[in-house]
Amino acid sequence: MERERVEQTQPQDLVERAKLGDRDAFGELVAQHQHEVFTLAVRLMRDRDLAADVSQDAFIRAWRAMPKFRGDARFSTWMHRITVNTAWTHRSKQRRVRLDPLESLTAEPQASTLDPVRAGEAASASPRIEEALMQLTSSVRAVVVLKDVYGWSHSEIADHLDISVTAAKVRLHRGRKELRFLLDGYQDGAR
Amino acid sequence: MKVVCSTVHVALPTVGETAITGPLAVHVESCMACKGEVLRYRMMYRELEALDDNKHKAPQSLTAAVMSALGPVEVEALEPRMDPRVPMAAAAVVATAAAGTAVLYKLYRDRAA
Repeated sequence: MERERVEQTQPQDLVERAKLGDRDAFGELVAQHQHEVFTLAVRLMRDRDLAADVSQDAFIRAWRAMPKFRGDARFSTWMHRITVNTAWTHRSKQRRVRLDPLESLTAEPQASTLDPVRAGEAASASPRIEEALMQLTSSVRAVVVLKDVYGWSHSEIADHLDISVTAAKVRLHRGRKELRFLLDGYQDGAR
Repeated sequence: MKVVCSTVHVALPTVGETAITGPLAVHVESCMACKGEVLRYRMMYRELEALDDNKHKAPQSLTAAVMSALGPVEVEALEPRMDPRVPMAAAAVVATAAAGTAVLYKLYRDRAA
């Protein structure tokens, strides 16, 4: 009981110290949350290198914003939001760089550009559902991941991905349907 | 595929974990194909939920990279930065007061003389 109480209060103490500019406390928070932040980034970016960049940026953003963290939500929840925003900024930058006028004419849908080897890397040590998720386009995958894995509401998803609630619902419907059929394919392959 | 079966198939990705209700539920109870489909969706949602516990290992260098890239915490957020007009206004008040005092002192001395 006592141990449980200590484990619960310790992160809060770290957060309070980090808010006052204590780097060691923030370093401890990074160490504690790095895997979950990286995991979310991998699921959004589908690439471990990009996910590492996103995770790093997300923690740096969090450090800068620490004094503004009011503690209404848990630190991990707050980090998830920052990670999603950072991932989406990276994604927009990538699209701007990639899609110059000439390239945009020949650009293919994202799902078809997925290299199976990289998808396998991204889904390393993960069940088949994670591999199937990696086959979805990034905009659809993000909605499915945030709703069905992390339990976000439609309005939270819409806010963070800068889309309407209706668009979030449509993408979720499409994503779940695609995922269901992809899983069928995995089952057939396993037979 | 029967019309009602296709309705169930359309509804399933929308309802998520919520059970299908009403006439569709009655149909599902009596249709093996739809029952199977409901079960497959349920399994999919369980697998997705379970992913929350399945973590990818972050690169070992991540924490060090973050710590070396940290700049100073935003000072303005810790100590609200003073509006630059405040010291100027304060200086103007002091200067006006000093000038007023000097004028009054001069008047006083002139009158005393």
